[in-house]
Amino acid sequence: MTNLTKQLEKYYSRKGNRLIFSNGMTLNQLALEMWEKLGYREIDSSVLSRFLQGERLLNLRQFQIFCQILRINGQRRKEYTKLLNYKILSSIRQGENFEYLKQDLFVDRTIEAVDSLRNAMAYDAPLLALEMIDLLKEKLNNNRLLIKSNDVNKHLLILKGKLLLEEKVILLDVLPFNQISRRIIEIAREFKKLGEITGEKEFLGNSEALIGRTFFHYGNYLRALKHDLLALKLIKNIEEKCVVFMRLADEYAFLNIPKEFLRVRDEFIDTLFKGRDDMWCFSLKGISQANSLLGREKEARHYLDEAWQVYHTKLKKNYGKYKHIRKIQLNFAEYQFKKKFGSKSERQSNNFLSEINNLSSICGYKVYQIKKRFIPMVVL
Amino acid sequence: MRDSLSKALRKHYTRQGNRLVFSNGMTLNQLALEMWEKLGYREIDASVLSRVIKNQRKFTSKQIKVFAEILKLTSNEFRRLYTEYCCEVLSKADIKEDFINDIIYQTDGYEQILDKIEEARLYDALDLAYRWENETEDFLKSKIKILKKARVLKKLYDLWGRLLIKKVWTILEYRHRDVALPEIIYVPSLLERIAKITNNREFIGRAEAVRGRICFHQKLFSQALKHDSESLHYLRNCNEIQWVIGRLMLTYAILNEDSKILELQEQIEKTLYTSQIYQKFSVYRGLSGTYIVVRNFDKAQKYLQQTWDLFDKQIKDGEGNFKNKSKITLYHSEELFYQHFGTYNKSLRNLEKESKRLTELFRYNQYLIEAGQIEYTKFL
Repeated sequence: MTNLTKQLEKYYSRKGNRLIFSNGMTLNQLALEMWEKLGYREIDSSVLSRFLQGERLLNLRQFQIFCQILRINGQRRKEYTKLLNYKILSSIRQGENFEYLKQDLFVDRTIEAVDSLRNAMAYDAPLLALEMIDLLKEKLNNNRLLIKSNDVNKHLLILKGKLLLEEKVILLDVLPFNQISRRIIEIAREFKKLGEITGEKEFLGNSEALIGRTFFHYGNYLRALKHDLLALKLIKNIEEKCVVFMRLADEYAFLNIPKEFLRVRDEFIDTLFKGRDDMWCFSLKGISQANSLLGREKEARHYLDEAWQVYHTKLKKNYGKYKHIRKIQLNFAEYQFKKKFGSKSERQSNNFLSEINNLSSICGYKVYQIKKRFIPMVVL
Repeated sequence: MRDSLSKALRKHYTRQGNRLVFSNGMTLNQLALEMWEKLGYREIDASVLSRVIKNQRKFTSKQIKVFAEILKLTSNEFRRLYTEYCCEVLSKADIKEDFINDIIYQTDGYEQILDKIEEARLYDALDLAYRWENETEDFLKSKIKILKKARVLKKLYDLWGRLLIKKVWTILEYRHRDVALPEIIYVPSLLERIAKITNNREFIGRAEAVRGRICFHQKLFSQALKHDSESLHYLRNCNEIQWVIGRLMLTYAILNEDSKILELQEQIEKTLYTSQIYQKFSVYRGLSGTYIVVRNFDKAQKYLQQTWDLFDKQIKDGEGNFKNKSKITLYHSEELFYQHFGTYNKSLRNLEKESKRLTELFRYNQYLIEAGQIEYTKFL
């Protein structure tokens, strides 16, 4: 029994030893109708019966008539035709090559799709990205189950890692942590598993970073620090490194270890210039935030102004540069700066909050729709 | 004979005088000897290898793997080479269906890209949709240039035609009014060419509909009427028919030919039951616009209210469905309602502010129209 014949079982039932098709025809009647439509040749009930049992193939023309009589149309017909084509290719010993090619192109397409996800985020369409990621994950998982070639499989595992990374970024940038904490832990586990299978240290680093992120969220800065330090050693991707650096700076600030903070800050500054423009803005804001926590007002102001400058010169007038999310984050940093040092009027700080609420609700960044009394000391 | 495999092989050797030297430093004879050993002392000799290089015969699947192993190709290099190999052998298989082409030329991948672009539009990510449309068009054009296979070309032209329609919609909404029309002026004649190549007369209808739209924007209403009426003879897609009928009704209203409106309204309402939410929204809004222009207060208000009901109940709290565009267009309908009847259906003050903000944020430049200015494109 092949995939195709199994799928076709939907279109008939057995009554005693007779087959009754979905249009009410018996096997003989269907074969007769096909025979007529094929110009009174090619098909009889024995051929049709053997086809349905997976013992022989129909050619494409015969199959189209079979579908036509049973009113199998649209996407379904297309899918079944693909399966039949695959069977025909297998019968001429091209099945393996076909399968390879199909998987290979699947890899390419998935890479494109992962890029699309990143584009959607960069263009501040987070809800679009959120919708796309679930579809993509499902496709990748379904496909992996079908794969036999080790070579393609390895590529798919690496791809899965890339997809996990995008998923992590999308979830953390779009939804409140409480809603996604389980999924984040699951992603950390998957990263670890992938790292162990493929030997890619980057995946292990991502796993550690996510555990660090989780501890950070729950205020366990010491444990967060441990995981983030380990992550930093393993991760090479500049953007991911910046995110970990920023958290480390905050962790040292929360733990009131200024000496370590300064060391991390210098390393952070060396790294952030190598990153994307928007990460540059994001990182400077992060350094400002940690300075705020340590009560270093002048430095906090300095870095926040620099972050705004990057925003105005490199992000604001361009597209595909995460400009709305960065603006939301900068407004948060301004609000927190005001709260810490009291240098802005209540009205001004409410303006920051209203800008944050407005922009985040229009764009769909639900994570930033926080009520005033629940605003945390730092927003990552 | 296809020569893409021999081209791919060329990357792995250079000519030094009349000798071939492979990327691992081996000569042709040395490589052939090594392959012969690894293949169990059979199948390959220098003459066979030389003929493969010259594209006069093909490697078997096993031979190409041994070739890659000896040259120590990276997994990506091997993947590229093996993909070319599979393409070649499969293109020789006698499968009379589009599906090999779908796989080799990724035509079904483009279908997915078209869906992705539509998703981006639904989520009001115009920047992103515009970027993807341009990228996809460039890609399709480059493929069309190099392909000779009529069947695949037909499919690619069909995709290009459908992409062009989406692109026209995006450009008219996204690009500034001064540059939008020059950017789409080439589209109708291209669509007519596509109609000829694909033998699909629907593209003639689409070409006429785009002409109708261009004339409408240029306020050449009689000409718009002519093109739109013509397009209806060819169009089959329900949404496209609704768009054209909506524009026709409005044009008749502008030209004071009220008698035609009712007949068209009946026609459009018949098709509504299967329509998607946003399509229904647009039809009702179009009807209200038409009745605003003919100054039929009751009907204008009735359809405007139905548009609001759809927005409030089915669009406002969901995602996608042109949520932000819907809000912007509702403001413009309300504004025109006020201008024509001198009375408010809904208060305009907050709506105007919100609409302006959304227009700027999501770059719906078509709607950057000052309040009080009569501009019929607001209804489209």
